[in-house]
Amino acid sequence: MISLYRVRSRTTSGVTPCESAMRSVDQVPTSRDWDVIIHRAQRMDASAFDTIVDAYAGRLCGFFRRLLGRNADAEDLTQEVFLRVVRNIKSYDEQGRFEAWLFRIAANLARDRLRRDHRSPGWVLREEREGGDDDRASDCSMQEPPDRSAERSEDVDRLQRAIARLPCPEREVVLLRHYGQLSFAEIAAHMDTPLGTALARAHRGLAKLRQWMGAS
Amino acid sequence: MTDDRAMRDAIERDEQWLADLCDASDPIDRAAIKRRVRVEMGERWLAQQLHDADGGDVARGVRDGVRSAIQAERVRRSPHGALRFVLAIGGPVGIAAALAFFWVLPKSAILPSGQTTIEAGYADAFEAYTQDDFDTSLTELSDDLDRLVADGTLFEWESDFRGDWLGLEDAAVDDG
Repeated sequence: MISLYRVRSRTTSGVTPCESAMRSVDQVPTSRDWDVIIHRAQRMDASAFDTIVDAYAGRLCGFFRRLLGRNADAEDLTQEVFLRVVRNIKSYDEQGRFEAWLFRIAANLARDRLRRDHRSPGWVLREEREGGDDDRASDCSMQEPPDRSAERSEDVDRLQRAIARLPCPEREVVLLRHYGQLSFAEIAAHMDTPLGTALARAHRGLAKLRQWMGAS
Repeated sequence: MTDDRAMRDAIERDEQWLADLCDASDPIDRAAIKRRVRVEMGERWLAQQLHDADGGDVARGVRDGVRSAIQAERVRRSPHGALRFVLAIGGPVGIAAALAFFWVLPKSAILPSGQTTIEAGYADAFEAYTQDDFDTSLTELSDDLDRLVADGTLFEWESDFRGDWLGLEDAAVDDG
């Protein structure tokens, strides 16, 4: 078992409440608080942005790491998402869910990065750790307790490899669900595909992951 | 419909398997992101203030603003108090003073090491301000600014700063 926390009670038809995604941070806003936090952020209240960073930085970093396969890219783009939030928060449509908006920004940034680099998601996390030439990667791993880090390493490495093998559309759907906790309707809208296509991609992608990871 | 239900059930089962296997959050330096976000907020605030201003001689306003800050500092004995004072003034002088604080105040940015250090200096200044260890000689800064205004350097930097760095249109610089 390698989870720091787990996402519970997710259904394919609904959206996991945002509170369940906040367990890794010290201060967990309730869903009622989020309206207030977003309004404060729209008035450029720095503490509101701190709250948003606390709540979503880890999930965004995980999303980028699994999608792109590079620590440096993941941390760079995680920061860039929050800068985009600062620049665009006033145009955020309050009718939509904030985290769906946030992860659409993230997905678009990831696509741009892959397109810019002319590459598929790589598998370099282990090499970065072993090579020791990436200070930011080292900084990141330092934040995790050593015993838990050691326990996680092998399974996470295998999972990362498996995720990297997935076709890009399946990988994106799986990761948007896992890290972004987007509904399939939100994912379908973001990817401009029918709902059934998003569901099928998730189904195929997850089934492949289980098979490659040797899960029963 | 049955196939759809079966697929959704399978997805739900597999997503729970993935959630048990892998965190939905990775460790990352949140403090560094927060600092960068505050710098971005400062830049955007300043850009908006400059954009809203009527144009004119921002460089000379920097100098005048800093002198106002010096007066405030002498009264309040606190650079932070001085900063709050000039920000409270608002208008071109306050904007110019803010520009001085947030942009050119780090010595590395205004000494001959040159323009390439501006961005780093700006970030350092904002970070220092937010971390409450901001302690720079405003008098010395004013002297430096006088020199930079006299030799025209600050005018060039102002133009580059507004045009390239803040992304303002050239017209906004020339309006005044």
